[in-house]
Amino acid sequence: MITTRGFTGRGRAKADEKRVPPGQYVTEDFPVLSAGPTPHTPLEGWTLAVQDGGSLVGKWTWEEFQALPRTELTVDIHCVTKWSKLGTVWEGVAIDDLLVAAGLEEPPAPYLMAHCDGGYTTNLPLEDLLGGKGLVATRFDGEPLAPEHGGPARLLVPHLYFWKSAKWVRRLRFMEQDEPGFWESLGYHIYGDPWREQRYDGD
Amino acid sequence: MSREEMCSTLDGNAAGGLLREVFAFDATAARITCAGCARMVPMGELRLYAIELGAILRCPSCDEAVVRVGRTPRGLWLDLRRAATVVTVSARAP
Amino acid sequence: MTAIEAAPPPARAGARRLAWRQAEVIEKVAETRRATTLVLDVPGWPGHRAGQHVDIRLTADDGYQAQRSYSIASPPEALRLALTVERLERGEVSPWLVDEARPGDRFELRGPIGGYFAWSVAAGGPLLLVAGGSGVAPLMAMLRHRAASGEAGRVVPARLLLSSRSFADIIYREELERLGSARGGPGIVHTLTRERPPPGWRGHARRIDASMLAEVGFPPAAAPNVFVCGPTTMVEAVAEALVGLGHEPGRVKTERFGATGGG
Repeated sequence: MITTRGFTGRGRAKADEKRVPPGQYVTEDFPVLSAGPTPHTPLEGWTLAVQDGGSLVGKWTWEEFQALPRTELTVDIHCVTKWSKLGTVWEGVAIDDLLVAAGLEEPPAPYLMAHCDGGYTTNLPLEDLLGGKGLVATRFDGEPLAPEHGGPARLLVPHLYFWKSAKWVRRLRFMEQDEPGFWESLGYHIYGDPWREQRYDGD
Repeated sequence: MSREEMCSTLDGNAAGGLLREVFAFDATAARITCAGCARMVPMGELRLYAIELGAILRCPSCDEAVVRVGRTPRGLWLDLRRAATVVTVSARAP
Repeated sequence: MTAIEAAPPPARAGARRLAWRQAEVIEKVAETRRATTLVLDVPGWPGHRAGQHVDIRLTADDGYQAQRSYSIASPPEALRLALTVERLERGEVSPWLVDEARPGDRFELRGPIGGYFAWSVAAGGPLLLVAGGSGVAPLMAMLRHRAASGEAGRVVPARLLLSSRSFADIIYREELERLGSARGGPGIVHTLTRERPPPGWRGHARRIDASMLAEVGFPPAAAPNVFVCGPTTMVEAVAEALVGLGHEPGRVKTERFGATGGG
């Protein structure tokens, strides 16, 4: 492989290995990567649903959702395209609180598929969402979440690669078996742990 | 928000190299039928997203993801389920 | 997917394997304050059609790679490949190409790519080219090819409508003037969209719209081959306007110029 004289790529700061997963570089930017056009769902029409089998066990309008317990998180996020952004500040509703609001003491199934405006999906084990590990985030950096970054609401699961933090989330569907979502069915890793560098199927 | 921020800034032409790897012939002129709305367009006119991860090519009429490609170090993963047909072109100049 | 109907695969560039080759920078030509042409030597280059592009790949010392697409600005007749690159604000590859690259530098390149957005004299005309900014590069390859084709090129009526931010940002301005004033040369019309035109300006001074296209372009009844290249909003507005004027959608070929991966 020939190298190109004088090419270093985007300012890629040498990363602290304990803080930043292998193969990642730190960025100050917040790159936008989308699989489709940015949806613009008006808040009046927005709802978030939790689905178990054929029934909805929870459904909230924007006003109802805003009334749920709020959680703030400051976390590092890691994209499979190798950028990491440190110390990002988010606010939203923890999945734990969402399930309580839906009247569920226990998750009825071990896996969940997130369904989003525009058709994007991603799959997650419940144990990676509970215990404060996952939020439905509506604010970033003290402001309402911008549409190109997933506003009005996106999933936030920072301990996994950021494609799992599904933008424009609208429905969380319980699943008995793990099934691949949008990128997972195109060769990306079914789980996506950045610390084990699980970018692709077979890693 | 400007239109440019909402929509794709690229089309199937920019995925031409990737499509060559998938199809082993130049596919940008090949016409593809959207399984969603039955619109038929050359692949060069599909709207292109997520070029960093592969290519998501969407129908210019209804935004259906007609061609989905994931690029991994071990190969390309292709999903054409939302394409109804693909018609290639002959060697005759257009 | 239920069926693939296939004619025999294209005999020319289509069937050949698309391998990464080595390109060596031979010369750099500053076109404007933002755009530079790199003239390249690519051993084994299989030839191309005007309008096609290449993918290039740069590799840093630590193995980090960045890949981008650039249109070929040189005609098939030229001995060397030319790419015209505009430096993008927060780009990663374009600043290296425009500011850093020097003769002798090497990088990887593959192509030619793109049978959709390509033209040759044999395809006939009239030929209507509409470009926004650095989107003029693939259309310049078409005009250079037409000029290199002697009488066969001259008999194809051709016009270029080029939109640029300002007079100083017009890429290939002098060469376009020479092409335009040659015998049988193409009609060249300019429009400037951001800064005020210089005194004595005879071109337009606004974004391309339907009335400009109606005035400058060939009538739909002439069934021109149309190629539109530039930023996505411009391309969409122009394509829509042309179809609205009566041009057949299948004859209007579009290529959106954006950052193929962040500049």
